[in-house]
Amino acid sequence: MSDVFDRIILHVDLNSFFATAEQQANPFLRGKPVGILKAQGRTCVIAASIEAKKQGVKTGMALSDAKKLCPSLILVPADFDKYADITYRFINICKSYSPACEVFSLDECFIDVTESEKFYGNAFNIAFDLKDRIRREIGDYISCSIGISHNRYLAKLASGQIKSDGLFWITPDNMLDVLDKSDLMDVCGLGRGLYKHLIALSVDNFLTLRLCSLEFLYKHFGPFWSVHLYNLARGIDHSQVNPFYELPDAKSVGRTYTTHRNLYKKEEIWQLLRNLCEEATAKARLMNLVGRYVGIVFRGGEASYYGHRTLKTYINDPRIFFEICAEITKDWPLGKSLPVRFCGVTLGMLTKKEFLPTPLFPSERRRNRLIGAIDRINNQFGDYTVYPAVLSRMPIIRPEVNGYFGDKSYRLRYLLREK
Amino acid sequence: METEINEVVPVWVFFDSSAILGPIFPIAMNWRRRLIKFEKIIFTSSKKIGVIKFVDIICQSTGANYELEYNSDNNIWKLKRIMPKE
Repeated sequence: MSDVFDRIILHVDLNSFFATAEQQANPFLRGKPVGILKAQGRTCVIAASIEAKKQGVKTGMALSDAKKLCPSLILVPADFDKYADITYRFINICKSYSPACEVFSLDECFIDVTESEKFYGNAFNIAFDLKDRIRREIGDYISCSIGISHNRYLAKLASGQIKSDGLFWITPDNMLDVLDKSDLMDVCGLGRGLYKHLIALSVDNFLTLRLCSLEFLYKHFGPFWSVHLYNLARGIDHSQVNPFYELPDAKSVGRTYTTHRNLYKKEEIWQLLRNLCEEATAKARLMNLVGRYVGIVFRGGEASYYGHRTLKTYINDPRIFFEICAEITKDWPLGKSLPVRFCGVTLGMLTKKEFLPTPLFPSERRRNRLIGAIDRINNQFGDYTVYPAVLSRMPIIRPEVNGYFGDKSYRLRYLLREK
Repeated sequence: METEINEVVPVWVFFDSSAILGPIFPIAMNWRRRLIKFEKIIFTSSKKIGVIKFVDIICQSTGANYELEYNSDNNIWKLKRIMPKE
């Protein structure tokens, strides 16, 4: 048991990351409520500054609602290159304290300092040093909250205890007190569906969850979630900090996009789909992977269409990927009866390209060489230097980071390779 | 709030590979026949388009903050934006 409590794990979370990055870059915005939009003209606030959050503005809120709550909200279009650069520097700072550094999202890292703590005296020294280095090396306005505990789950909970530039240590002594004061939805890994199920059983806090027996939880939540919930209520988590350089290969790659306006014309929808297919397959090729599962989703208005196909052969050619997507969607009422607002494509069941046999037919080999040449040109001169003619009469949708690092292994490799 | 400029400007810099915020440190620039001296660097970030590296540096001067962009391919500096001070 003592081994379990001997681990020391830090969770570092950059506060209001996107908004603070903008406030760092433009001092005029400091101390003012700032809302980040994905691009000029978009209507969803993807991040809010601490000042805006105090006035009730939340991530994902519609712009009209945010403006009602905070009329003085300053809107800034997101600059994903800037955020990626800060993330790169943030990872470099975090990994200098221990090689066991897990990049959890764009602005969050877990660091297992069990072995390296001695070099700094104690974990508090590491936390203060880390905060200081972030201020010096990234920017004086960038702050982070740090949670320290003996496992990942409690470290993450600890970093949320004091918002904005906080530092909190959950020890075995104060663990149950903190848990009992926390909301069930505060903890990582408890989704809305599970929460609703718990509420239906009159379990609305950690104290009542702890009173539930394993048998009771097993009956209602099955073998996996029962143990997970049982452990959560007691602050138990045996998961390891997965170092960023040991990330397993991606299981799937994809790209989703929400459009500025409803798309009614088939031509526009096909262009959007082709653009997303180009990016998803480019990601796979960059990681030297090929896949044989094709998934596609379209949303618009109240309707949502999803389809997928498992192929016999592996692909990473954007044209073939697009043609399969088009085949899947051929009976969908896209356009007039289903105006498209959201589109997503996935290439799954990925495997290493070198595991595949060499193409048999000359036409296939020629096509592979062509794609290879296009990739080399795009790597040399920038994404979409060469692209299919079908995309020539539309604004190209380019790769961008997302806050949750959905395609983490791709992003990290891309990020670390780029610099 | 801020003014887009996007003009090529001559910038005096010194290079220091041990500097925390990056190896390039702008000292002053000549913009529209005015010499603007920089007091400190507020923020730096970099991005790559293909193999070309672009470094964005936001410098503070007495009157305003200036966003400069350095293109590693042609060594050209561009004044991108002027932003008011706090």
